[in-house]
Amino acid sequence: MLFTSLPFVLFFVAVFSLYWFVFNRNLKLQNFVLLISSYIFYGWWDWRFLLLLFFISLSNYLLAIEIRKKEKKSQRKPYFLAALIINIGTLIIFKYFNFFIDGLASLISLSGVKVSIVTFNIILPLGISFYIFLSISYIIDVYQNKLEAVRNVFDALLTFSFFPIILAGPIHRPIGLLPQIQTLRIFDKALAASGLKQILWGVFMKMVIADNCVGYVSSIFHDFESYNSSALVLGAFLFTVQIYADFAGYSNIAIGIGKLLGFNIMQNFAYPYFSRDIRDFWKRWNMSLTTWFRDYTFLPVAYWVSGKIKSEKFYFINTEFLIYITGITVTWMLTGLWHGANYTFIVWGLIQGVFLIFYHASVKPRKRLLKRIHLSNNNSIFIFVETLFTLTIIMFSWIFFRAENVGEACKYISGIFTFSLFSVPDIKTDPVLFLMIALFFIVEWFGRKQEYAIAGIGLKWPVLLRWSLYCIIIFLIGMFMSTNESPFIYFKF
Amino acid sequence: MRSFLLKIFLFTLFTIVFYCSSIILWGELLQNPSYKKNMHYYIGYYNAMSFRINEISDFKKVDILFLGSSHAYRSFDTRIFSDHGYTSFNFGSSAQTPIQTEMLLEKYLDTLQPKLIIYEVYPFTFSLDGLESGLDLLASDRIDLQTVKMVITLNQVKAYNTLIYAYYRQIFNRNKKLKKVYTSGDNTYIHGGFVESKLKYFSGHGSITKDKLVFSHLQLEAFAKSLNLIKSRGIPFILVQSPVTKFKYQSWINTKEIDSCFLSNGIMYNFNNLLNLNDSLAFYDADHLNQNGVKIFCDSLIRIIDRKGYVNKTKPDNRQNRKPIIRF
Repeated sequence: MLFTSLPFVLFFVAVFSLYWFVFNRNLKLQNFVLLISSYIFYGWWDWRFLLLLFFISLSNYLLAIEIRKKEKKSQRKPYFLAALIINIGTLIIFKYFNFFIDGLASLISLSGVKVSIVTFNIILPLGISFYIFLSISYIIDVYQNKLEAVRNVFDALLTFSFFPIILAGPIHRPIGLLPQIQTLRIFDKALAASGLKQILWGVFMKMVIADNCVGYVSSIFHDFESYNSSALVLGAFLFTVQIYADFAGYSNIAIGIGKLLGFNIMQNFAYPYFSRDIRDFWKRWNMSLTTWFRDYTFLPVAYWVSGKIKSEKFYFINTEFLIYITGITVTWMLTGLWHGANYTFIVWGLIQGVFLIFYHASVKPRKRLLKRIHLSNNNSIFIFVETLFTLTIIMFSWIFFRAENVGEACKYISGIFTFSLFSVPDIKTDPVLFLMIALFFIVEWFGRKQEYAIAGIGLKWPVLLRWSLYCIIIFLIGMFMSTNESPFIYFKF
Repeated sequence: MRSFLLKIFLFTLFTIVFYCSSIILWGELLQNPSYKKNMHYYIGYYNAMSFRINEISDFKKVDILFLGSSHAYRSFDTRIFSDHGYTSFNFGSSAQTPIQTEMLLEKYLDTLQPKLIIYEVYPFTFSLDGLESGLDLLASDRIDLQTVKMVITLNQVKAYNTLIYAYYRQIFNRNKKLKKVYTSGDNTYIHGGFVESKLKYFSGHGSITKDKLVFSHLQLEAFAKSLNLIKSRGIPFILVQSPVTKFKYQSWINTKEIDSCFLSNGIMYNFNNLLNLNDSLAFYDADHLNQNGVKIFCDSLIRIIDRKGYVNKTKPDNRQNRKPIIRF
């Protein structure tokens, strides 16, 4: 039941009607409708996944209550650790078991010892990384007294299974979601209208932009050795467009659905491809995940390292910089691993870490250089060049994200640097796709100050003119959408 | 909430009008197909289905009605059947799937009133979504409730967009001045529905990719409905698999399963087993018979019809003094 499919539309109309017309005066009933809907939605993919979701939700609910019951930290710790083991253990079993076993076997075989390994055919439950992260943040926040353990079991189950965000985020943490779940939602016309517009833009991004890139990206990446350099650059560019339009499109739809149900779900993308530097990019891309890693990985690691090194310098390296390097390396290795059990993701994560470290190291020299050459930091051409540079390095790093393995990614990149880089790509493409991509980025540029690109367009226009704008988007979807249904990329994470 | 729902309702109405108008404008103003990704309207595309539909009134109460895909309109030569004393009409069309066949039968069976129906069951069409043939019929046939029903069954945006544009053209009679071309490239349309190809020989052998044909449940449902409709009118029918090259036939790994599926629905003649045709001499491509193959196949089928007495001939056998073929 994809968000962009007819069964989902029918499902949502039914949920919306029950939620606002039948159970609109009672909080418990509102939440009950959402809980049942969320379990139906999730079970639609595979009912067996429901058992795991229920187990994780219930475990965290019960352990959080135990944590809050105990006064002393030492008494709380066993429950906290138990919850962490359950959450992380589940993730490892379902997502990383075979990967780690393979890795271990390879490591042992390096020493010349022959090992026969046992791997299992484990199905990866959809959205597991997302709801496990919700659970981890919940249990940590409760443990750190930032959040009260929820007493109502239905509220807890709903927090971890809320259907707009369960499959691919945004990872709207319980600390932000629970207060909304525990308050009766009253229909807000403006919020609902904004939700509809956001869904419309999300559908355009997914069905017109992302899905139309899929065919070209798949052909080029699948058979990259038979294409010339410029075609490989084109493939990397189209994947760069695809992954953004796909994931940000999904997030827009999820947030829009949340708004229709009276929820404010956190923004997940803030026009990342218009970022001037890599740090800025990661502040704008998949914000719910990056802030999660910042709060639950980077800061604790940095805090821990800073506690261990008391001197100002450590082997000639500035301690502050060392702390940053350690925190970033661990965080980005885990961020990469979070995306999937493949070395490509780990390498991709480490590349982001290296970019960020370089950026961090270059901040002061850059400032000095600009001062020396009398160049304003706000110079438009300079901003444009920096933005283009950031986009280019991001595009190259996506090659690791998309490739089947690290070797192929390296070959792909080396294939780019040949003389055919300056020739015409030897793949026939549809000019309309590029027109649509251009139109898409123009709208995104003009709407970049808004929560989503079309949020502010036409607000002061006469109603018919504004409606016409939305109808044009609907028409473009109808005329140019891809008819090959592709699942959202982030579903596999 | 009430005002929100009212606005949604008004916006929906506005969107319907806006969308339909845009489709019409887009269809009229832009000729390049890449700018009309999800709309495909072309009269006489692939074959002359519109000619067949226009000729229906000339073929009422024929002895034999042929249905099916290009394997029907390129294999059942109505002139050969006429020579043997059978009046016939070939209602095949490119990639015609059971969904389209059902629609055609519901629309025209009572007008045509054939004495026998020969339903050509090319297995591959049962695994298709039916869009290609659906678009062909949207451009060739009159739009009515049956057409809308077919489009809903196809449930694809391309079909919906083309339906809107086709209906506009029908309402404003925009197809009136279209020039009729009966010969296109190597193909000549013959009065009665058959399409004759210039004599060529198949030479394209290569490696065979073995594949299992999986039938769509929508196509099987439509197939069952079509047969029920035929039975309800009391018209006898036979199912025929017209021959394809051995090269092609061997690429399907589940032919026995396919045959038993068809046999469970009625009498079926699989000419891939009944005839031993040479791929190079009797076909012009991997799928279609050339005119030599057509002659062998039709003669063989007619012998079966004669022997089994499926239908009484309207005309006397005319093979001795065959008239020259009239081409349009």
